[in-house]
Amino acid sequence: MATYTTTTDDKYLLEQIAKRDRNAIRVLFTRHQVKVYRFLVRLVKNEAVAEELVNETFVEIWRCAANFEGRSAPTTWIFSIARFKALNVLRKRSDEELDEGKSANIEDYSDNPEVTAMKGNKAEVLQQCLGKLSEEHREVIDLVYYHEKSINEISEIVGVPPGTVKTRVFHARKQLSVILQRAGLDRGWP
Amino acid sequence: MPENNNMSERTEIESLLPWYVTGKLSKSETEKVDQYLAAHPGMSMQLDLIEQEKLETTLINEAIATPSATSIDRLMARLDEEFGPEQSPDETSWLQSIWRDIAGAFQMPVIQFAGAAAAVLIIVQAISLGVLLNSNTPGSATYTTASGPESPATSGTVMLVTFKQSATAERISKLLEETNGSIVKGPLAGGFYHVQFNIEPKSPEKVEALVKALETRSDIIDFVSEVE
Repeated sequence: MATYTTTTDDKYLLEQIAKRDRNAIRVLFTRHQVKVYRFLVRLVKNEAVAEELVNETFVEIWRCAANFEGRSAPTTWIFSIARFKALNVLRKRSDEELDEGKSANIEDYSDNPEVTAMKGNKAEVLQQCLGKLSEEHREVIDLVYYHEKSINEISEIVGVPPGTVKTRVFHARKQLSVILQRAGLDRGWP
Repeated sequence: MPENNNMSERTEIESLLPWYVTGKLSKSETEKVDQYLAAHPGMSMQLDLIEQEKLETTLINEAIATPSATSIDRLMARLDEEFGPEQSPDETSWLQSIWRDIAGAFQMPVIQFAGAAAAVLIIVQAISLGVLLNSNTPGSATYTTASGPESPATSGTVMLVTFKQSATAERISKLLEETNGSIVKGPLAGGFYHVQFNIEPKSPEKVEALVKALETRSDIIDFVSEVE
């Protein structure tokens, strides 16, 4: 049995997973499941579905670890798989909703940003306005700020060129300023 | 420099600022931003905005609960189902090797059987439940639920351990008894337990030897690492 510690390199774990080492997938799973889960919750907006998708992602990693070529960081590869799984669910959900004529909107009973701004809680306003970004913008904002991915890593995860990543984040931030301004907060940019 | 060039340079720098704040730019890009900020101090206010955006984005994400503790068990069950059960090494060879490794690791006799430990914790890692029980040994007997109280801290080395789903309480108990180990915390998220062993934590050779010895028992132990 290979030796794993809290600092064992993810690439080494993937090599061992390719050799069918269950301990290696257990360590990799334990190390990354929370962030992958949160990434998925933000995409599919359903905790049970996200949890199932985390498992689907790691089953796929178990199945395809030998195909990992090490050209990207292991976490980038893991997030790419997770995102692909999530998009499949979203596509299927979208088809079902079209078939059944359902609306995907979830009613929000909390204060809107304007009301919160009047109450004077800037941090809460900012959180609410971040929540009003488009899915495309919110995804890259999460990847930059919470998951702390580089431009190239986001490019690989989202499947767009690095230039598009920079532009998308830039526009997301500008859009955030617009939403904040509508809520009564002018942050002086752009 | 023409104004449009200034604007495009400004936009280029602005588009890099989020990664400048998270420290994810290359060295040359970082230097480029540093130089621009030095020449245009007014843009520093952007860094404050980005810090706020980062903080609130982090708080939004951190507010999402963690996955259930049984998710790793379901993953392992799924792997068993789709790819077949995990293979266990020969038990006899372990008994020989653990004696050799531990005896070499400790100057004092560490393999102490019943009577040495007042109570030995037994983990029943059933496939459907992660229930932690204190077992009845020839000294005393207590029972603790999975989320039960932690044992009082004593001197020794604490290891982070996960046990095989297929490992029975009897075999885990025997292993802990033979290695003078006791469970002091757990189960934690991911099925981890803190197991304390009676060796000095400042002796990396002994700790390493213990890890190696425990790793040979892969029919019971899935993962072992010193708690840092």
